[in-house]
Amino acid sequence: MTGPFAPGDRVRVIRTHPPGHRRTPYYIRGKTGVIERVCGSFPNPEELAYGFDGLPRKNLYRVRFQQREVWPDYGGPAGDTVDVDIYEHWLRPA
Amino acid sequence: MAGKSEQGRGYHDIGGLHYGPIDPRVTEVNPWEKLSTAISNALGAGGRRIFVTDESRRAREQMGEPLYSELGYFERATECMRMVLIEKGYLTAEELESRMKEIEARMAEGRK
Repeated sequence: MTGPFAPGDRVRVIRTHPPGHRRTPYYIRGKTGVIERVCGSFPNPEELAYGFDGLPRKNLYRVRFQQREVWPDYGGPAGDTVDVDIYEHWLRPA
Repeated sequence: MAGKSEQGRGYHDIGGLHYGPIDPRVTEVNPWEKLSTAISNALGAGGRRIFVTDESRRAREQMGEPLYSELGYFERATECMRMVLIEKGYLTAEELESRMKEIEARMAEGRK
């Protein structure tokens, strides 16, 4: 099972800040990147965090972002990237 | 710490904020820190499965400030284990505190 996205797909991380244990870092919310790989499916850590079984499993994707998009004042070379592992429910097609 | 109070950003979620240089010195691990880690591993997913890492992480986000910033790495881990064990009914705060007093008294006795 690889879920809704495949390597090369452009995705946007939803920009939302719900309370509770969330596994998508603040700095990457709202940014757009490209699926680098499908990492597999795992029990949802945002549910495991409260003692539940984390089922159904969620697909996890490694998403590649341009550093210059993530950090407006980024001073490194153009083309530098950052990879972030993000669960499917945080992603939308872009 | 600029931006730490941005709307919706948890106090633990510090990626991209300015916290100054990282101290690269390697520190000696204290015996209690090793013991705490061993107990945590024995109770965790690789042991008795009383709690999982995700619950312990969530407890870090729940303990609040300024406690979170004041505690060191192993202190946080130990406090989180305490929180989750109490939450799940494996022990009570009173039991833990009376046992700590007992041990403190015994150690004071031993030092005489």
